[in-house]
Amino acid sequence: MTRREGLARLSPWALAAVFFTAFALGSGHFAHEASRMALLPEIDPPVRRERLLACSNMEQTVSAPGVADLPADVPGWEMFAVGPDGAPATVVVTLRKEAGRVVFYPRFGEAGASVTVEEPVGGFARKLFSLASRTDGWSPVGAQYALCLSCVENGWSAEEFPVTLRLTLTGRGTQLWHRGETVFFEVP
Amino acid sequence: MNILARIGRLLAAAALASAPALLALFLVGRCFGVDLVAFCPAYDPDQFFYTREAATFAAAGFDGGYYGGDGRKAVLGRFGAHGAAYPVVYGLAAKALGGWEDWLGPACNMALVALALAVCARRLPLPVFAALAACLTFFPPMVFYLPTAYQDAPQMALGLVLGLALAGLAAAPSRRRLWGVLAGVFLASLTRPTWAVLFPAALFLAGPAGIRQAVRAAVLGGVCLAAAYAAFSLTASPWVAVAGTNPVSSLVSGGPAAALPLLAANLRTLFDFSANRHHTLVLLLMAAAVALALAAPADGRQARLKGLVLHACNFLAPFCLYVAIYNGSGRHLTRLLAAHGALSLAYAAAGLPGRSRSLVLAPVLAGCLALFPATVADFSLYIRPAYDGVAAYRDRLAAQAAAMDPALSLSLGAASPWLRTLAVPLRNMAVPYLAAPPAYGVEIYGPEGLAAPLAPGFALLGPKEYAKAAARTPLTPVAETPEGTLYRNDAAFGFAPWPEARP
Repeated sequence: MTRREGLARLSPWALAAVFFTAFALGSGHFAHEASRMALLPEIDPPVRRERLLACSNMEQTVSAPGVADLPADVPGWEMFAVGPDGAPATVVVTLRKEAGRVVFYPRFGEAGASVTVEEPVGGFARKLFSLASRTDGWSPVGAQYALCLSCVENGWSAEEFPVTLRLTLTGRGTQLWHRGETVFFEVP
Repeated sequence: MNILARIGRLLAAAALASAPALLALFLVGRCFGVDLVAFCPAYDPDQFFYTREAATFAAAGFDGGYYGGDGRKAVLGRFGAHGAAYPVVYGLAAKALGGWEDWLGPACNMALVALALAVCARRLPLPVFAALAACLTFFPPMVFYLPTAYQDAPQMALGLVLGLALAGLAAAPSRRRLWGVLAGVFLASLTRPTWAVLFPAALFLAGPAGIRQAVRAAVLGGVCLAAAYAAFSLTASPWVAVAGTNPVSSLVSGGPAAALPLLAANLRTLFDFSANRHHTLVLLLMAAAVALALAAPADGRQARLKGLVLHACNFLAPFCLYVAIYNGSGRHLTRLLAAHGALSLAYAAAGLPGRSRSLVLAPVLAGCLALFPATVADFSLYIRPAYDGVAAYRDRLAAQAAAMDPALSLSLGAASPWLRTLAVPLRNMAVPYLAAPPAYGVEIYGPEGLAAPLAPGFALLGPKEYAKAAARTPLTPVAETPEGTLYRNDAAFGFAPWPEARP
């Protein structure tokens, strides 16, 4: 039997299985990328529940130069807010990836207002989450929205590492509620 | 075949031919939440070169301004460094549809890929065509480049059609087929000169495989290759970034030793798997597809030899050439070789016997599917700036056009194309490039070019660039714009003499 005849006896399906396995393994984290493909970006997800959490153990720092940071009606809470001119506000949060899923508290005052969460990667940015208001009038205080933190770059790893997230608020009056330096909370 | 079976086959073929476009539209919607109309090419130079030149051809035909760098232009026509094919084909399509819109770039890509697959559907049995279409649909470079203004997706379409034509020539050589294939390769070389590597292969396939045929094909094919490359060069302007450092000319002038450091650097980049993981895997997949096509049993020794020559010319030669004198990065190589990979795949699908086709197509499809999640991850990151958050760019383009175009429009009827050409600095070109009136050409200037007399009728410059250019060109400010001051070149318009060069 020549080599070519030997190849002819190979099953195309067996060869396909070998290729699939080899390239899936070679591409790094097939399952992680496949789950990200299914999950990202989370667009207009439903409210998880309405409750302001009292605390978070996640280490994080917030930077929002030029963004209005106002006291909220609820004691202990403040909010970054888009000004009356409607110019988009950018809040950058750096946190340790200690959990796969976290919640945060955006709030809207008009239809078309939105919040986007991106992870800067090199000179580009991966969109993780976007939520736009479809109705006029204020959305409820304490409305929790979940964010997939394990979907970030290398998020498959069990290791805890710092992640930088950029939140962009648009629409007059759009708010991002926070407690001091804490914007993201572990999912209870 | 009864009528129902025919209709069923037709519908299946239509669905498979449109599968790459449908997947691209789905991904744009899923990843960016918009549709194709949101496309804006402003973030990436190659893309805005293509779209801008097509817009000029749609608006002014062959009578637009000049494109090029540092005042240099093509010998034939007024097109830029990528040649005439893209602006002519895409510009004609835009003209037929009522004028250029940026989204026509990706839309025409999708139409051309669907058309090429429809041609394949006519020539291949349905199961083979289905496998080929599935491979192309999930082929990472196709996923990545189809909804952009890059010309790589239509080049893959061209590769499919050329692959079928070459397989037809190999199976049933005739003088008529040979002339048809040579004409096709020549036209393809005008879109991208790398296709000229197919001349020796086509000439080899046209006769009985043997030493004499190989020598004849190498000699005649070499002549055709040189002629096609020269023809492309006549229609393409020199690009400002490679002035004086063209790897081919440095190889010719300095000998092989001059290219060795470049080769070493390219090889280092090529084997840096950690920095290029995804693209290197795509490159491996293409190489594996070619290797399988060579190893799979063919219809006799003649067919095997012809396949060997075809794949060597089509894939191996450009691969070695690119790595030796151009670039070793996975991203660039996958982009440039994707069309050659598509050709090899189509040749294998059309030229190999039944079971051998499966031995090539099934593993390639499996590899494409295994890489698909990583491909989507790359897609959602790197293609995003073309679709998501482009409103700011559109506002800048509108503001720039409003400030600049009234002055530029005054010379739209001028006889000299230079008076319908805008000079922009390399440092800041995206917005001025895209905001100029469509019939205008745009010349890009590096620091050295600005120090020589400017040929274009207008220049958009910042203070530093003006200081450099004003030494050799009489310039009068005509408008303040968000991206710099718009100057009229008084010497080009005949309002002032050229100043003497300062010692």
